[in-house]
Amino acid sequence: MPVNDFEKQVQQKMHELKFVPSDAVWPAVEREINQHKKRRVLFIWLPLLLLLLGGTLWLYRPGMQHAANKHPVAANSSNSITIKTDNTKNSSAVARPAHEQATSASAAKSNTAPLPSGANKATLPANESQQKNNSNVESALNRNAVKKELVADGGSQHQHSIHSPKNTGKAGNSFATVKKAFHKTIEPAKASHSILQKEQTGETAGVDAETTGSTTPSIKIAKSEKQAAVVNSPVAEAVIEDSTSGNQSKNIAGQVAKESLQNMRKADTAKAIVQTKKTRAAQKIAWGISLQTGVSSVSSGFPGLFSSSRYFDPATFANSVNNNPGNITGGTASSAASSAIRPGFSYAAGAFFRKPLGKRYSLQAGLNFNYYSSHVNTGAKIDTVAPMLQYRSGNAYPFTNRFYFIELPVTVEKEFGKTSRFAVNGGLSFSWLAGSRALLYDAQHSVYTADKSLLNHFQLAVRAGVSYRFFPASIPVEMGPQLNYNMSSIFRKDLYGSRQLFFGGVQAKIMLHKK
Amino acid sequence: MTENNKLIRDCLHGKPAAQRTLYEQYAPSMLGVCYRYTKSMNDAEDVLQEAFVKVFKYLQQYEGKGELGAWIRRIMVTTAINYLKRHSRYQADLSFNDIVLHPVSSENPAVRTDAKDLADLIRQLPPGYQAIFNLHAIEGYTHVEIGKILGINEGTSRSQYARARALLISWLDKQSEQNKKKQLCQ
Repeated sequence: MPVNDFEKQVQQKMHELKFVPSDAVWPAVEREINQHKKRRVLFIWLPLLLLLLGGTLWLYRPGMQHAANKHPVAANSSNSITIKTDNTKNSSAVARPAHEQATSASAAKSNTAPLPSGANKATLPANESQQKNNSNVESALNRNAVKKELVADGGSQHQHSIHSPKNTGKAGNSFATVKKAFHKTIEPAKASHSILQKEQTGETAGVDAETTGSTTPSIKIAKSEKQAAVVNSPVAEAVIEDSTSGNQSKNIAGQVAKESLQNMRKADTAKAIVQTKKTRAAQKIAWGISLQTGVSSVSSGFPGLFSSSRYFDPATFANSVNNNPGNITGGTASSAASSAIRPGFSYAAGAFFRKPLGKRYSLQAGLNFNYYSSHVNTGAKIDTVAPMLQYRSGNAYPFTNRFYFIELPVTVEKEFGKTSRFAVNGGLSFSWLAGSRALLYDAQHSVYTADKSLLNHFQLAVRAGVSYRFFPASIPVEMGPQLNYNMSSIFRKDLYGSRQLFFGGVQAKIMLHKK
Repeated sequence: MTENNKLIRDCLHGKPAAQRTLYEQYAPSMLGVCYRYTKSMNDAEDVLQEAFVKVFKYLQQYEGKGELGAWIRRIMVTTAINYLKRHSRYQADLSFNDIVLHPVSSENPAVRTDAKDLADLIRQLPPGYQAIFNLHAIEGYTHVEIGKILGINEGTSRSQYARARALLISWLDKQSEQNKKKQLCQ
């Protein structure tokens, strides 16, 4: 009988050995598989959900709500010359004041639009009336200074609409509405009606000049540009009302005075708009993409950052052997047999958003995909009994350890100066090991094994960097050196001691959008 | 092979029906493997369950080079060894001391007993013998590999195996003699 025939027979017999498992086994297997799936899905979606939630809370925090609540105040402010863009609303909003506000405008705003009752006042020099108007405007502006500051989106949109040709048309519609109301209520006042008609056709300036005869050159400013604003303002309504009195010359003088007032208001409003825009520009939330590339490795603490390290500290290794006699790393082999861990290529890509915290500070948060790698040398690959990779100890073959992370970085950035393009940033990041293909040294058996259970899947890191801003006018790109240092150990600390991943390289941030 | 590939692909896509099919196809023979390493059917089923979870978890690492059955069997063996290491009731089986010595035999007798009886005999081997016998005689691992898996010296594995083999052969001889006597009585 040949040698080992006994073993072959036993082998053959044992391969025939079969049992039917009890019914409870498969449901248990299925349950565990599903739990694993759920965990995987949760780990993928949880960071995204957290990011979304954080972003939403950020956008709708109480401060922003206050600003939103102030919109109506700004819109109702008599000093902000907001025009309702909705035509239907205009017809009611403007027509009603034509009746109701005309008197109040002339009475309550006697300081801003003092309608002359006599010819003397009607022939007031333009400078004098302008001075009066200036003082009135100043007082009015002082009263509403706070409101002006708070002109928000809605208000600014309305204010923009004053200058746009499109909205001039709408203003024309409002004008027509006013005219209609005027027809209904003050039919007999044909003279003023003719003025309105002429205003509509852009002839007002000529009419004014002809009618007043002695008006200053400032009066001759082509008013067609300002008709919309004039017609939609209470002042215009006052003019309309005045025109009903039949005293055309008075009305025209009053109208001229109000034109000046309007000019002043417009100039002031424009300033306010610019100021508001500047203020708001400082608080814009911007977003963009971030890219980084460089080198990464596993270090044995911060001081040994740029020197190659090994898998074990001798002291930790000894403890590991004593505390975990049955463990994979326990044993009598020397830790020195493990390969040195050398730096490898690394990159990251992601998206971020930035919220200014003040003039020079801003807060950034985002979501990144990070790839870290490091190099080790191993022996030949083992046709292993385990499902994971195994390599023998040795120096024959290079192997790249790969780590894939999903990272949530939160950093604060400080610009060096108003005109400086340099900025410094620092913060923390929380990352989750989404995947890996990394070998860990098993000193007991002198083999390398890709056992993921020996890796810490959650990492907390500190990050810092400096950046310089290119192309600030078009698409700003911020670029500069960046250093990430994981405070958590990448390998299980009880077995391998403190081994941190770190990254050093260049980061580029491309700003794509400002809200 | 093509059917197997489709089955693996479906399992990787997380299709429950395919996973069930794979389980039903391999579970009986794999329970036999687990049975040889453990002392009770409950423990064998525990190992089977744990190992099948690993099979589905690491299936993407199967490169299709060898037979899927052989790959699953390796997972079963590894899981069984880890199970023995984890549970205190099996610590004695992994003590590997040479206090109790058994004679070494170079015989190659014919194995006439059926698979179940043979497996039961293997399970009755003294502490330290069972795992080594299973790994070397049935799974085909070398003593160097067994040393790495169990954390023992190659020599220990070799000597333990030789004694396990001799003991099993003597038991088989006894069993065959008893069978002969029974036949004569009948």
